[in-house]
Amino acid sequence: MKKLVVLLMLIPIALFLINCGAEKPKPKMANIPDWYLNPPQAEDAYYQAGDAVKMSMALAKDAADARARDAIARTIEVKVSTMMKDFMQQSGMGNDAEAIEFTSSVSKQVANNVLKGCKIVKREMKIEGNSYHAYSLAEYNLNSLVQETLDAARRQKALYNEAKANLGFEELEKEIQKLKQVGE
Amino acid sequence: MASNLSRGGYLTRGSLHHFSRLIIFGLGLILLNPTVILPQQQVPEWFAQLPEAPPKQLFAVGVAGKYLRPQRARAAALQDAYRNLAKQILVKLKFELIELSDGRLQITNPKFDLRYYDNRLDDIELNSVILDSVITAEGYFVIIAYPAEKKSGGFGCSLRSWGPAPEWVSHIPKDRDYVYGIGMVARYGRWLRAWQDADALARFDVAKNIQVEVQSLHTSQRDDRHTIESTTRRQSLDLTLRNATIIARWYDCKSDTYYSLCRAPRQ
Repeated sequence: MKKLVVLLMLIPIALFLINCGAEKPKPKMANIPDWYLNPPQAEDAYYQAGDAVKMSMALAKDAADARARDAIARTIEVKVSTMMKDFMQQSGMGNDAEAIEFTSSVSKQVANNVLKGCKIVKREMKIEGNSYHAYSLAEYNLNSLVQETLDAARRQKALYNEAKANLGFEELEKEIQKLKQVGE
Repeated sequence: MASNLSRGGYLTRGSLHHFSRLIIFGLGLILLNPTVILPQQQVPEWFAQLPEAPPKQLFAVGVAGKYLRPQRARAAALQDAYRNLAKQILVKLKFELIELSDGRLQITNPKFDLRYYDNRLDDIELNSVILDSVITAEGYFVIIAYPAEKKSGGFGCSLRSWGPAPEWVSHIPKDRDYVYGIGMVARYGRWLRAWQDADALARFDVAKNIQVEVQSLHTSQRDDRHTIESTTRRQSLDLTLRNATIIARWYDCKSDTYYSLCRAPRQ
């Protein structure tokens, strides 16, 4: 009987030692969501994925969401900057220092200010040892991007006027409205 | 002398036998009682899936743990329902997540601030009506309607088990009129606290889907042998949500995870 009690006491210690020696399980490629490796592509929206490994499930989810949204913001900044530069060059003021500043300012504002309607559309949570591995897929509608670009351009109107452009601001607005076509 | 020692200071063979029996009996009780191993086995139907309220009326649920007196459990569940309804009517959310990483060190620091107007609680208490209430092995559940209407009918008392994962757990619903958000928490000792946090996180998720401020700085330093990439990321929001309702809940028994689905009209 005494042996049984000793044995019962030894079992948790043995389990503890076994656990200490165990390697952290690594995520298998098969466990990674397909949409994380190959985010969907659409004509009217941008998709970006993010992931995070944390001990807390809620924190893993928040961090993965934040990384997915951050990736969207960076994609938008590059996209808006390219589109604005294209437009400026077409209008014959692409090399103007103030026009470059205007383009850069608008694209940074769109990307770094507020993402309206940037939704997490898919999410998966995997357990890896004692941690949670969260995968998030963010979607940003192109209509929201057009609106944000317009708003940012309006905010920078004074700067634009100083650029002595040969086009009216209304024409720039019209061109930004065409961003959809450029994005496609 | 020896017998005195064995009686007073050491365990005898007989007492060891009793002790081991006691352990086996205790383990058996734990294993046989499903509410200890697998909590949240049975919940009211309307707790898992909130019924659609008629126009100009709101539904909210409240829960309380075990109390010696059922009246106290009922009072606690009702207070919880009043608070949930106040949050549903109007809630002010502030969120900030700062993440720093330089390749070796990674810090993620989220801050949540949820406020609701508790001066509405008296009005809710006076003008609401209980539609249904259920006592289960774990606690007291109540659903209320606000404002009370003469034709507000009660629900039939039906309990359900959680079953398989609903679609919204992995694929967030898409709707032209509403924005959705999911809150999830795991490994909580107390199920009441777990649902409270899952509900709150679902509201924050809705807010983030509506509008979030994103700022980040990515730098990369290279020398002959190494590349150190560092990221500073900040996301924040300060929003007021109206009519943000927890419309569904799901508990995953296998992973001990609590899920809440929140819905708010597009603003």
